Amino acid sequence: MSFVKVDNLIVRYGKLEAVRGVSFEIPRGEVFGFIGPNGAGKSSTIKVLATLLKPTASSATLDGIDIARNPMTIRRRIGYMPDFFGVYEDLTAWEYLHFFASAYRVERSMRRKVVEDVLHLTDLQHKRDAQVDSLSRGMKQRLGLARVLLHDPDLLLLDEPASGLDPRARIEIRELLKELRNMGKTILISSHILHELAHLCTRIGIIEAGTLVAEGSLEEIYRRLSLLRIVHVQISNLNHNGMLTQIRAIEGVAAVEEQPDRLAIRLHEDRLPLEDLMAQLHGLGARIRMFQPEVMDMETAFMKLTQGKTA
Amino acid sequence: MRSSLPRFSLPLLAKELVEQAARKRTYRVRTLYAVVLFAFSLLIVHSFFQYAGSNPLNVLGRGGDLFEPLVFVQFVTIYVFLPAMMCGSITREKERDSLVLLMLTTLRPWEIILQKYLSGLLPMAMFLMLSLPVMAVAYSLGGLESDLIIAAGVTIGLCCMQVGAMTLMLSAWCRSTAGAFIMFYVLNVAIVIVLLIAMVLADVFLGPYDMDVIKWGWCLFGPEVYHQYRLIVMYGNPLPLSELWWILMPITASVMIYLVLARVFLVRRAQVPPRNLLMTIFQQLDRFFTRANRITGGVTLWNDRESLPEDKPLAWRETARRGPGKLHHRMRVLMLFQIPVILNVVLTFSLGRSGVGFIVLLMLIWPIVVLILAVMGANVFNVERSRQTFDVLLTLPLTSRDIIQQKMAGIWRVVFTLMIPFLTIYLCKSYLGWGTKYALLYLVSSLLTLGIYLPLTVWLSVLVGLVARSSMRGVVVAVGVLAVWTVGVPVVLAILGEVLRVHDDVYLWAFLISPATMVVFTEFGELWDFDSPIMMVVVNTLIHGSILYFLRRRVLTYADQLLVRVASADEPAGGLQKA
Repeated sequence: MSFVKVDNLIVRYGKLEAVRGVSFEIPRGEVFGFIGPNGAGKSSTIKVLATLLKPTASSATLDGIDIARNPMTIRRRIGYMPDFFGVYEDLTAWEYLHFFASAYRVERSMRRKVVEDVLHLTDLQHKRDAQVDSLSRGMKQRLGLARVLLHDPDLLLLDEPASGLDPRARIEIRELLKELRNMGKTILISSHILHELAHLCTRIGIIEAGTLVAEGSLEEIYRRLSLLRIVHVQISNLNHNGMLTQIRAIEGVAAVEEQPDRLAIRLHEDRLPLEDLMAQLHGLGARIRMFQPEVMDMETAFMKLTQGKTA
Repeated sequence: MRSSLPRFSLPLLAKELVEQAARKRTYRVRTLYAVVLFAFSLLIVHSFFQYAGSNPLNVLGRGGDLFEPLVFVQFVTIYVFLPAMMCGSITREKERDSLVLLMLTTLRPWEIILQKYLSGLLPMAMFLMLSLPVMAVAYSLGGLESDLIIAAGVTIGLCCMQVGAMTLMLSAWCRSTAGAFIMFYVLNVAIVIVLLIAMVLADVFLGPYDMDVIKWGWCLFGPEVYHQYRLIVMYGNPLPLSELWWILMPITASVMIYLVLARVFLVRRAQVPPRNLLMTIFQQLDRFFTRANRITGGVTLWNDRESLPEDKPLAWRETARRGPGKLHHRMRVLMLFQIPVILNVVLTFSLGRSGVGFIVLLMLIWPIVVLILAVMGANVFNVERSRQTFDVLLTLPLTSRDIIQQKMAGIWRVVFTLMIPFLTIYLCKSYLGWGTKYALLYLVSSLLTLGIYLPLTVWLSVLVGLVARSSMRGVVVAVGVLAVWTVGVPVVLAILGEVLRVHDDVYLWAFLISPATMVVFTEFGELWDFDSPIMMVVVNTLIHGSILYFLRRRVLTYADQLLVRVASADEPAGGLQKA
């Protein structure tokens, strides 16, 4: 049974229909990436799940509980981090987390330990007495993540958690999210930075102009779009015995591009899995120095699926 | 053939006017103003015919009676509408971070200032021009000298330019629109206080006959300029131009000075960081008292305890961590109000002075306290909005009612603190008059007004702030509503009374609609002139107590809607959550 289920979600702001019949499901423990350009309806969808917006029409449930009808129950079970969020400048990180621990009614005897645990998890122990306003943007994001973990929520709703961060802070957040994924948290994360989600998500949904244009695992989407996988290969005896021609003739290989120090092999992965390609190359007598499959090209998928429309 | 003249354009002015033209609010406010103005004028004209008797020709020659109230309305309009319209001229650009971009264009600072200035004055001119048809009626009735019309035109124009220039200067100085709006009135009150002090000093040191310079200082205000100009028109024949120039000079010079200062501040304060106005005042007070404390050897009477939130985190933050609600700051504010009160108590009891000083203090403390509470109340949630912490707050598993009540904890502490100077004054005044017939009634009436009015101000401002959803709009509307309710209503009732010639005691009961009435009646002893002062106190308590009850109920019952939050009908927050 799906943990999160959104069925035909519609959100209107006056005459503007921001979300037009979006449906998706997230099984427990999955990381669902919500991709779309600015104004596509990502934040509106997340806000509905976070009980901040009442949908115009839909049935959205969390663990079978109707979100619109039971907002208070849902609030206890979710951790929401908005795309832009401020912090209380008059509190230290320690006080800030205690403040939210109290608001989430974490047992008083447990609060100290819980706060210490989340500070440890987000690597902010050394900043516990710093004023939250003095923290860098990346640290504030990590503090935001620490905040949403305080009450051990079942679902994390993270709206563009890495937006506006420098590369180091972005990598730190990504590693932290991987840690949360490994802890078995169900996460819905939105972003328009595509490769960020490629590393993290088990499923993705691509939304444009308020409509979900694709949903599924990355592989499913690539397969549906017949996208090609690129593998970079260095072969030391490439000139031996018409090797290049033989590689081009392998069933499943769409094209082979000669680059100064390598070959870029484009293949239909559904017809020729990576392991089989390697075996076939060995079979041809190739002495392989490097075999590097490129991460699936999400940007191509995104561009194929979307047309640049807004709601 | 191409013109060799440089192309003249006012892009900023055009943009501002287009923006204003696109706002529905522009037309709504203008229509409302026109309706009020014409209704008011119609009432005056109606009264002319009512008292003209059987001969309608008796109305002729009464143009001046219609003209004078209209001029008064024009001045009120300028002082009420123009600051509200222009206070955001530059601060809005700062709030949107677009001022720096504007300054990177080829527009020079003077051009920015002048185009912004014109963009504020032109809509105001539209407001003022609405009265032209009524002015024409007044002129056609006769009894109105053309020189007086010129006098009114000149002084209203100058007043408009001066108020606009001052607001623009403050907009260039302040970081927030609400700050600029409040500063306009604070600065004007400060000028009045300085002139009053100067008058007292001149009276003591120069004698009553050498006060022309001080009187000249009052010509900084449009209505006084008009008053002086009017006297010249009525008693100077031919018009003494040197005297006319003398009275027009202060206001004209102030326009220049304010515009120059606006130009200076525009550049120097283009990138000032956002600051909470109240917080800044509290911090400056804090610094002052810390310096003062060195004289006493650094005695510490109270300390803000280090604490962590227990069951009410929002209330904890409002009372233990956030500026005005902190004990530390409340004590500073209390001392600011209480020291003059204590000094007055000492003077009154040791030197045997009368209790007039208490009345003066009350008249000063009331508006300041109401202003502080209005700003705090209107901002209590809008601060969360502007700091982008509001969404996170709404996802907490707390009921909306609980969120509102906890967020108001800091304000209630300030309310209780600010009650102390009032209580001191009321008890002292009651003690002074003890044994007289009305001492007990004075005490009861004063305590009731205090107990109702302060919470009333808070609940009204919180409601306005929640509906307005922006700090600037919330503060301006809350202060505006309170100003109209306390001052505007009695003024309108007084004018209506004059126009309709109703002067009996029954009509005075209508003044109880305004909360200020009972304070004035009680302090100036007018309450005792009524046949049934007790009934008056009871009625006032019932009226304002009911409004307080209604406002509180409205805010708490419609908490979900006011916070724009999905209604939490499933269960109230409670019980401890798993860790």
